[in-house]
Amino acid sequence: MATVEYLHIAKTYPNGTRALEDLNLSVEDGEMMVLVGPSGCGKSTALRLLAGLDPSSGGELRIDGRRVNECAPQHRNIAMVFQNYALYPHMTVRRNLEFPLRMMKLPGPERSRRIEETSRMLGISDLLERRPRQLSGGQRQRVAMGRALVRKPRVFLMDEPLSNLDMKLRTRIRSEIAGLQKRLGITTIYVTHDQVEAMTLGDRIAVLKDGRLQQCGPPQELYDQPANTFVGAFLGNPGMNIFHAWAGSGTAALQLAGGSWQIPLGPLLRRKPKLAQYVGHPLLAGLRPEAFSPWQTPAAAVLIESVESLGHERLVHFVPPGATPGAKSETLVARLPGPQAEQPGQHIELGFDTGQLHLFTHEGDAIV
Amino acid sequence: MKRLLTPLTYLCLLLCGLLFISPVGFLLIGSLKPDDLVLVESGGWRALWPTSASLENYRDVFTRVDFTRYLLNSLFINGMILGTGLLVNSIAGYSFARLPWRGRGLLFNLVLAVMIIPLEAIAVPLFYIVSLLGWRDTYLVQILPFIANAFSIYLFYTYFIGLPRELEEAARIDGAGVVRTFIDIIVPNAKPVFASVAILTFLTQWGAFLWPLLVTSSEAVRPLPLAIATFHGLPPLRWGDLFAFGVMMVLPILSVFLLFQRLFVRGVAATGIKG
Repeated sequence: MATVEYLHIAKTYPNGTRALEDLNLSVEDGEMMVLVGPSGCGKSTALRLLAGLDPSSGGELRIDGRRVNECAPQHRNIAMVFQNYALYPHMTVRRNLEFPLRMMKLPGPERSRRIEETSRMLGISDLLERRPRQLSGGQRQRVAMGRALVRKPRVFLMDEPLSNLDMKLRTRIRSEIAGLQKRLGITTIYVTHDQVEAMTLGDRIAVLKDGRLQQCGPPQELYDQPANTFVGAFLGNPGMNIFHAWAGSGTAALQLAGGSWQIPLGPLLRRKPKLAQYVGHPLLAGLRPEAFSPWQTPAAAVLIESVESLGHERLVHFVPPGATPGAKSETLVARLPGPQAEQPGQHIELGFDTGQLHLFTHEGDAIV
Repeated sequence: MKRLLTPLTYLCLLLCGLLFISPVGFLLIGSLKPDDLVLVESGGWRALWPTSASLENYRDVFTRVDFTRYLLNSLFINGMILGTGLLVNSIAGYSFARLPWRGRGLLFNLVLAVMIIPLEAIAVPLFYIVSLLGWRDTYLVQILPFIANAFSIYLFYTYFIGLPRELEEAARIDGAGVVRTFIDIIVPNAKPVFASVAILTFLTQWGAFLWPLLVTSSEAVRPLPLAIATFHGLPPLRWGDLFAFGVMMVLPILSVFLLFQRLFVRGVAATGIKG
């Protein structure tokens, strides 16, 4: 087991693409850290740098406090599960599992013992004599995990390991990975673009965008207190609604979505003292879909655009009255309990819980 | 209409097949005929009919020249070119495809440029160099210049560049160095390209004539193509013997092709060589 530290890590590719900029991140011993972000945000690069597959352009990487920048991948004692599993196609499952052990020069009986132990743990004992092409996607995924775990690495890296599986299998293996990681207590860095995976798996989540770390913390903390509009909109499905707000200097109310809703400034200023600095400036407001409710105040008569019924709940896409008609960016979404009750084109009264209102500067940083 | 087309297609294919195989058939059947019948019957369908077949011509070849010596020379020279060539060119191809080193692109372009230079163009300076080194009339001079081959390097390069990079990365993380990764992971997954290069090298080198003619003078190191030319000029001229010599010269290359044929087809498809 080990700690991992990224200290001012930067990565610029030879073609000039900046994949990472000044990344500072530390992963505790035995922790499951999930790196999440959209495509091209630098999350896989961060993993590859730690694995030693690519050199960093600046900064320091440490495993257990020891600088590893110059260490070859084979000397870092890490294991990695690739998105396409990268099983050796010409070897049987047994030989795939054995390969890292042979490289460690372990004696034969010890190799056999570890293969038995790992294959039993992952439920692949009966697949040992098969070749990768004879396995299903889920079985390949397990073998890839087995090959990574069999050598008992200090750090376990996973690069979107579930992205090639169907939804049902993904959910099952996700919980298996979580259980396995907790049981073995191996420091794990898990890369995904799927925020559901991030929320359910991570002890902590690090959200990246354009090569920069946006926020790092426990999943619930990131969900409840996003540091900026990007984190707010990225986490959650659907993500946070972000819309314009205005704390007019001459009025005592915060105007939301072009005046669709107005709430008194006083209580807000007590909750968010820094808001005082932004009075008179354009702001951004954030509300999670579940913050809306027909019974809350302040309420406004909103225009329903469409309704997605999910059986036990519905996602109502609507335009607040103060919004410009037809402007796609001003369409908001509410998550309401129960089956569909509204029709597109209908107006309904919709309010929200002011306690769940997030405020951001015009640049998108949270106001606390 | 469709019912008529299928037999017609097969008939066309059959005729094309016969057309392609007829020279080989003529060679094989001619080698079994008495010498005086070979040319007499060559004008019609009898060319492909074994009239009074016997292995007499084959026996003649062995009594008139030291065929075994030439065959062993050819096998040794080609075996060495093939073995060392596969090793050197695959390593070079892998290095160009995967290993990061300064000047890789420039050198690779130079290698590609070398592909268009025919042996005839460099034969004289090459001859001068090997003469200076005192290598004339040896096996070495027939092997060394043909080990590194630009086309083989290019074939290996195109195959290796298409292999998933994650395989090598997984091996490196699993603890294998570059050499171990190459031997344990890359080579076993590149059998088709090895087969293609083996067959193409063997095909080219087995028939090599100009270079051995320039650099060898003693029969002890000369390969089969030179021997058949000498045999042709050896009186009396017997076509049946010549045909038998030809058959025995073609057999090794045919067996190599048949041995690797399945892999070769896969390799041709994978490396994108056009026939």
